[in-house]
Amino acid sequence: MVGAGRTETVFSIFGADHLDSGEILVQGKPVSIRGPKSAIRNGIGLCPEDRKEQGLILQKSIRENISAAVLNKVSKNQIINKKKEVKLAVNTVKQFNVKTHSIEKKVVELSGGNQQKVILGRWLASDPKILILDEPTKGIDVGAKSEIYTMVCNLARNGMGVIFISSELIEVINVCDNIIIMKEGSISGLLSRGECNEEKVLSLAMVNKQ
Amino acid sequence: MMDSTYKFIIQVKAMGKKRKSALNLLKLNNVTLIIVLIVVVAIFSVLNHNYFSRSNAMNILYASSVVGLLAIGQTYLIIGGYIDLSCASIASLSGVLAAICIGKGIPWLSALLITLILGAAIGIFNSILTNIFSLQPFIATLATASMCEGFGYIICGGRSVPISNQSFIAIGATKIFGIPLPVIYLVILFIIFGFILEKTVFGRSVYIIGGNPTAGYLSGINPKKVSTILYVISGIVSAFAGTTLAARMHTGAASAVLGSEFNAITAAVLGGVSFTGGSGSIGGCFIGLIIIQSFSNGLTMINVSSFWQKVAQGMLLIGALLLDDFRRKKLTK
Amino acid sequence: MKVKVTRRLMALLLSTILAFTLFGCGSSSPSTPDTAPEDTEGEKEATDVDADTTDTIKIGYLNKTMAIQWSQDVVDALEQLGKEQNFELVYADADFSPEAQLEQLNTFINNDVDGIICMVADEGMASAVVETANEAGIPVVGESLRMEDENDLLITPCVELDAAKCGAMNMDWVSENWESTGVDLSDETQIGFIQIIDSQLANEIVRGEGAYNEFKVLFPNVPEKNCFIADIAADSAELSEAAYNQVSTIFSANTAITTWVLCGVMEDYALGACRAIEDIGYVDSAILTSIGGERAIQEWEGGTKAPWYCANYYTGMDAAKLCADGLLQIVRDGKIEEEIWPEYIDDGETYASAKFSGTIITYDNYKDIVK
Repeated sequence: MVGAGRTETVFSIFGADHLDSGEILVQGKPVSIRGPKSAIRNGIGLCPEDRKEQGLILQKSIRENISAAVLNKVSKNQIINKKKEVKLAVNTVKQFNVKTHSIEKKVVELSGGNQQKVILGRWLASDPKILILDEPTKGIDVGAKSEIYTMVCNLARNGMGVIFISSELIEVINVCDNIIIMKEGSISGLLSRGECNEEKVLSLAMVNKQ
Repeated sequence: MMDSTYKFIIQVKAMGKKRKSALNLLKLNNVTLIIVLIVVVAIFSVLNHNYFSRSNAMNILYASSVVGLLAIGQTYLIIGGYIDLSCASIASLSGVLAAICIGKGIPWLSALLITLILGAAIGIFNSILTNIFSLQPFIATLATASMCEGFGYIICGGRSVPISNQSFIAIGATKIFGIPLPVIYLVILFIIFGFILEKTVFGRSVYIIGGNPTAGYLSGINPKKVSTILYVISGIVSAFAGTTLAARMHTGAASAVLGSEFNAITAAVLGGVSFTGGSGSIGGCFIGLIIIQSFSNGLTMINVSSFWQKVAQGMLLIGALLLDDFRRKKLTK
Repeated sequence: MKVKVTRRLMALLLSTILAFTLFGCGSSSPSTPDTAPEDTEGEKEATDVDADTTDTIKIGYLNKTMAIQWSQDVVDALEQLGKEQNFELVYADADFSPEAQLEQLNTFINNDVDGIICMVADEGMASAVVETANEAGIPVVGESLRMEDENDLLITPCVELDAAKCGAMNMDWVSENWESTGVDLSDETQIGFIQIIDSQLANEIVRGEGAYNEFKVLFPNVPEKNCFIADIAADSAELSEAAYNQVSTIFSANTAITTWVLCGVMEDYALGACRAIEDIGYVDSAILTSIGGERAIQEWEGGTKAPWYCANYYTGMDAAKLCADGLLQIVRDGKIEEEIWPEYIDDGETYASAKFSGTIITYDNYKDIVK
């Protein structure tokens, strides 16, 4: 549920926020995450909750938004290779089915769903082992939503660890293998898909009003 | 049109050997600005037949050489979402420092390096104010400006410091094939910094943190690191401008360049830079710079009283800001 | 396409603003900035240049700042002389910026000036100005501020106020006329003396010293410790305010002395000193003199005589006449810089420093002297 501290938790995992305690293990190995840059290097990607304020560079093109987290992959000796960048953007647009005539279109002109796909594309370009998605389907039309579900499931099936944050129960139950419920800043429960039902989840998620 | 051909010739000649590839890099495709420049040149050429000449074009470039360097620093900073109002004071202080060093017998190259180091140090100071103390760049750099101005007067005791060392004077006054060195510095630095901004990872990261600092941060770009580099660039380039000016003027004057930061910022804004960050180009800034200088040169040529010149320059700034506003409205629907 | 059209419209709008400002800008005369037919002004400029008469000489006047009355007077005087002696005047205002002055110099050179009169924006840049102009074959005459090299020797002929003499003339008047002012200077040991200068300007130091030295000769019994310098260089406020501050401070620090003789080497300083004298209440026991008379006249027009009793009055025309004369000798008569005004070349100097000094005006006689 909103306000339980989910975004804060994943920001800390990503190194964007201070980590009070605990450790982070990627594929079983502990890693030291000092900031988003080292998080990315260690194979973690984060699609933030507010795509306009935190994700997109609105006046820039689709191409520039996609390459933002992987500039060193499309450049050589610090000089950007336009061809590589264009290729990456074109492939991403095709792969994610982003509706646009050109990769030079400014992302501010895209619909919510297409914007989200661009950000997803950015993070997938960084080839993460763990991908964190914070409310990825918020404010998106139904068609794009289902495209994103399909994409996420494919990624998981191919071995990527996906952390899917959502406030919509149905979404969570249908997409996720395991569900962690948070309440007031700490984990209140862990259920597998099989164990999941609306009642159990709500009782773990709701704050006691006694 | 003969005018545009002539414009092309002036720019190509001024750029010396680096022609076609440089033109591409500088992205001289800003139609609106070039139209304005042509109109300005046309009007003044009609009013005074001496305006339309190779030597006057060279004068305009020569006159742009100090403000132009300051404008490079401003373009970078404003694109990144910052600003440096201390650039002119750094330049003046550098001029005075260089003059004093030369007076004490320090060789010209060392004196120049000393001022560049000073510029970098002040840049780091600005970065500390903005990043560690989280002060608004506008106010913080204004404070730095005041301090630098004060130091300038202090170290020279309020009097300008004369320079008679010919090798030092040479770095500002020599002409190569009739082109003054400061013009060559101007063109070369615009080309280099234009390239860095458009084509390198660092340049792209400046645009990104300017367009959306949070998105940039989450993409692995460190705004603090980038802004420090930006302030250091501004500091070094400003110091260089001030030192070469002192050489040209045969004197280190603490009041030399004061006030020029506004012309530098106007040039950047005319060239497409926006105070919301994330947009602009070095090429546009260059055209903006030439427009401003052509305008003020023209007013002097037709003998307009200096008081009216100030009014005219104010209107030019308003025009620049209107243009910026119009551009921004087009971009963010 | 709509985008292109709007863009072009913006460009046209911007250009129209520029063009409007251009034609809205007045004529070259600072006293009439709103002269009407601007279009004909522009055409007249072009025709003048196109006329290509070898007799018409163009003189460029580079000024440190047009914001002071003196500069405007010099420009007016030069324009008048230009009509009489058939030369055209162009001028530019550096607004205290050495860089701007160099740019304006280059513009003038490019605009076919035959000679340059220069009040240098920064005394250290004089060699840059003279070298640049001479390289282009254009002679330079300095106005009011000496153009010197690092050894304080002139590098081109200059025209300046006879600084020492002006200050001395004021003190001569004081010595001869103090009785009529009602201020009692009979007991010299009780008198205080203040010279108000800007120590950053060599010319002003000389003016102050001229007054001081003459004062010492005429009033030999005034103790050394009663003589002060009010230096406005120490004060960041504008001229009159700075003078006010400095003089008030001296008064307050020396309350034992109530009889004063002051000399402001620029009338703006004297103005500030006058206010200081009034505010502290020394109006009846102080004699204020100044170099430069315009402000004094303004005070006298108001009916007050004390404490500003006399001023050394000189005009922009005094300076302009000499400058134009010297420059025309070089440009028209074919002389070289070293040859003009031989009577004013001091020992050890290569170039002349032509001097003008003014006349003493007072409340009683200024109406006769000043037209």
